[in-house]
Amino acid sequence: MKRCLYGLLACLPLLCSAQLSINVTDAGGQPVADAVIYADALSGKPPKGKLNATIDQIDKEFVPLVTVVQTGTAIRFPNKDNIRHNIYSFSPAKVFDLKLYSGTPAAPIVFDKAGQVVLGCNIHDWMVAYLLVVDTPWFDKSDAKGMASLVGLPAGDYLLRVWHPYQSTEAPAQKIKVGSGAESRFVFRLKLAPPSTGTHAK
Amino acid sequence: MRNEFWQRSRQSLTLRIVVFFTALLALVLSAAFALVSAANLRISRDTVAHELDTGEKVFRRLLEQNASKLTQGAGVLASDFGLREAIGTGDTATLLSALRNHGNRIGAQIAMVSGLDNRLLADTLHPDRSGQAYPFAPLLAEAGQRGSASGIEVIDGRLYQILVVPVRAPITLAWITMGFEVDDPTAADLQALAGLQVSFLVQQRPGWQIYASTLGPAQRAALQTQLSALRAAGQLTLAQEVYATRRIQLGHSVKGPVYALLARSLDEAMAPFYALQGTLIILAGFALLVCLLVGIRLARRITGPLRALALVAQRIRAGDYRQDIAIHDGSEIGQLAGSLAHMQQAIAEREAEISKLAFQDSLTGLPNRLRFNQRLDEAILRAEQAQGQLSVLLIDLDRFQQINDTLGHPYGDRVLAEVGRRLAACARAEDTVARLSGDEFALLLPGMSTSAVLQNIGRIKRVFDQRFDLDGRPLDVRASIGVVGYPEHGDNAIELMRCADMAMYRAKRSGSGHALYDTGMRTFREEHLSLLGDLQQAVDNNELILYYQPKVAINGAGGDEAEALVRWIHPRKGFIPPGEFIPFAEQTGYIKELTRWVLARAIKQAGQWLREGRPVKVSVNLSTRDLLDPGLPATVASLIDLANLPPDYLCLEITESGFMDEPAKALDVLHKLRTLGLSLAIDDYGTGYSSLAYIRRLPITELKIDRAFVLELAHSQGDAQIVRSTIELGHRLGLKVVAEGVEDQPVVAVLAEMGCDRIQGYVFGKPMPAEAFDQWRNARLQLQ
Repeated sequence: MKRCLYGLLACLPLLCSAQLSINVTDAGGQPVADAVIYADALSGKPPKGKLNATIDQIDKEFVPLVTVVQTGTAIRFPNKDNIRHNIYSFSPAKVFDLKLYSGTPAAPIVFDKAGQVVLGCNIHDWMVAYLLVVDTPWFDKSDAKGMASLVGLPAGDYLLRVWHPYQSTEAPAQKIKVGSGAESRFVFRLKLAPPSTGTHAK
Repeated sequence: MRNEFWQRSRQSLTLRIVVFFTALLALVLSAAFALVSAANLRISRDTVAHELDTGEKVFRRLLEQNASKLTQGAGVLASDFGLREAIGTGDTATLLSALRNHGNRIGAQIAMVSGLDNRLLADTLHPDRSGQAYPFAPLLAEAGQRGSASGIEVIDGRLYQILVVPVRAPITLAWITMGFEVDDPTAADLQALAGLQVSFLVQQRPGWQIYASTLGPAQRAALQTQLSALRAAGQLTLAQEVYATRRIQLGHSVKGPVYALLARSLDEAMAPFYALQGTLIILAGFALLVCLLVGIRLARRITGPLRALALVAQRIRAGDYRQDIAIHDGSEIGQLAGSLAHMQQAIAEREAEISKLAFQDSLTGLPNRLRFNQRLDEAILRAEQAQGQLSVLLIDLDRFQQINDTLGHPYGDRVLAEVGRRLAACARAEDTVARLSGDEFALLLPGMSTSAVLQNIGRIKRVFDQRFDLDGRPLDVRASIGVVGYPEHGDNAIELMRCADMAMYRAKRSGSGHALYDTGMRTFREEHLSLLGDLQQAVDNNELILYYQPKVAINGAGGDEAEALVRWIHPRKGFIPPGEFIPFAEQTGYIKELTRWVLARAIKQAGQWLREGRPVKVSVNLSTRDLLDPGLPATVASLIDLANLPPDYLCLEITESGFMDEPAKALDVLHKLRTLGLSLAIDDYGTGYSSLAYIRRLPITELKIDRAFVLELAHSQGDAQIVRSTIELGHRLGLKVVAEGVEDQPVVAVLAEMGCDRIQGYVFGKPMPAEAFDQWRNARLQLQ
């Protein structure tokens, strides 16, 4: 619903903007959820989108598991549990450590560098969240049917990319041209290797 | 001596019992020992095997636990935020120091971090290796699959247990490898828990290598030389100590396979077994000793009384019947002792009885001949020692046989008892009165000379002067007494008794009542004694010859009847007159053999003459003893039968006195002879006391008038009267009458006139050998 709303908002300035529909499957053709689809414009500076987001901690899990934001987005980490969490990241894109806290920390954390960030909780080893920081406002996350859509892309050339936290190899980017009569449906096939993280008791 | 001892010992009951039971126990103990030893050995072996099994399990479990513990420890370390931060964000130097720090926390000697790209990020052992490939790729691959991995590796000549755990932040960011050295202390810890000697080995190039061990230096050196021959399970001898071993592969290092060698010292494991065996041997030895001692004691308890009883029996044999046999227990030995005691008593009583019977005359209660001889021996010994003297009186009742025959034996016995009583009554205390046999008594007078005896002989004779009045039947009993003295007549009992016997016979013959022995009697007797032997030889050597003297019929030519007379031509002494040896043969009893010989010869001769056609009726003299021989009739019957001689041709002559001793017996024999059909003649008729009335009762056919009446027949009117009436009476009794000792023709004429049937004497012919008799007869026949 929100995505649709964003999509609509993004489309508003460009009447002729296109809507891309992407289908992500695994090697076996099964739909893959939580795959991040984003399009990097090959020319021009992409506009700033919505630059705030929230990753909740509910019942000793990060929600959602996968988040994608544009560079410069400030993310809040509200703690909905009645225990404390200690969120950290050693990822090069953003290293931070939110010491033990309850509720929502006063200041959100700004992710100003593109790249993937793995979030963990120093108290609950099993808690993990994947954050992809991209330099584009056109991104989406596949749903349970493996479907994602990008809307509001101005005509032009783009590199359409896909990312998934469990991917074993990076799927090749697709160079697309957005314009009238441009293809609007794309398919990505991913090789996944689910993490061997073992089982963690909650 | 020694041998004998051993032989005796071997037969001893004690030794047999002890040896038997000890040997039995030894056998049982040996069997038990063998069984227990075999079982123990098996158990010990099993125990060792079991210990190895258990040890192996414990060891493996320990290794796993150790790995698990270390893995957990390493895991915990890998989760440490600071370390993760250092790995996630820090530089190599920081990472190295963090690794060292955290490695030290759990005692790891080695810590490495490798990235997901399998390259070393940091290595505490070799800090310069950052960026190089991770050396234990297989472990990393295993850890990638299973979340963690453990292995054993050789690094820089040391053995390490290696653990690989992930570093998550929160996804796997890197791998931490930690190494814990496996060294002698590690092995010692394992040994303490598993109870086995532990060694860690690697089969590497160029050869096996021992990295850690609990073995001592010597064993370790020995093990090094035997490593190549190691098997999964087996035995090793290390420095004289035997081990049962197990080899377990622990992993595969880059150098080669890694093994653990578990060893159990057999010597150690078997020690309790050998200790038990030693105890058993000591116990067995002790049991044997106890058995031996108890056995000896028990056996002695049994054989001790037996030996005592054996001693008692020996003493009984030696004649000691007054022993106290004091074993009073209910056992068989007690019973045996009781029996022995009864036996001793019985033997003593019986011996007393036997002694009484042996030494006492039951009729008179006086000592018998045996006892008398003993007393005499003792008396002679005493007299010899004391230079003293003694006398012996041999008293024989006269005609006692007649008393027995006429008045019966019971009466005779009473007479003997009375004689004994009277003799005993007149004897001194130191004298011995004995009944030697039948009617023969003896009196031993110690210290008394023969002259003293002769002076007092009246006292003895008065014993018989008094009438015997038994059952109101008065009886006169006379006795003949022979007197001898020591030392003058002999120095021993046998000699003295022999002399006394001779003196007694002299007394009997002379009718004087008593006689003192004199040496003249000795020579006579001794000559006869030597003759006895010669006479026996004479029969065997045909030194005896039969002479025949014709019994000529008054009106006949003669030669149809003859008396056979025995003659002895001694090879040295020449002709021995019958008067010399016939009475002697009668006394010694040899007359029976002599008569048989004569009978056999005479009958054979008569048979021969009969066959030659000139029959001669032969007369043979019988002695008193012959008449008492109940076998004589049968002997004569078989002899005439053998010679095929009709009984008409044999006449047997007997003397009057032949009847006197035992007339009943003699008469019986005579009747039997007469029944055979023989002629029987009374010899020497007229010299005895028998009357014709008595003769009439005898089964005789012939009467021979003694030469004493015939010799003076021609000159003495008295004799002529006797002869004439005898012939007449004989004829009236149906007897044939023969006159013997006729020497001249006038007597022949007188006898012929008196009606005498036959004449025997020198007037017709002397006794002559058979051939001479034949010639004589031929001459007579030619004369006629």
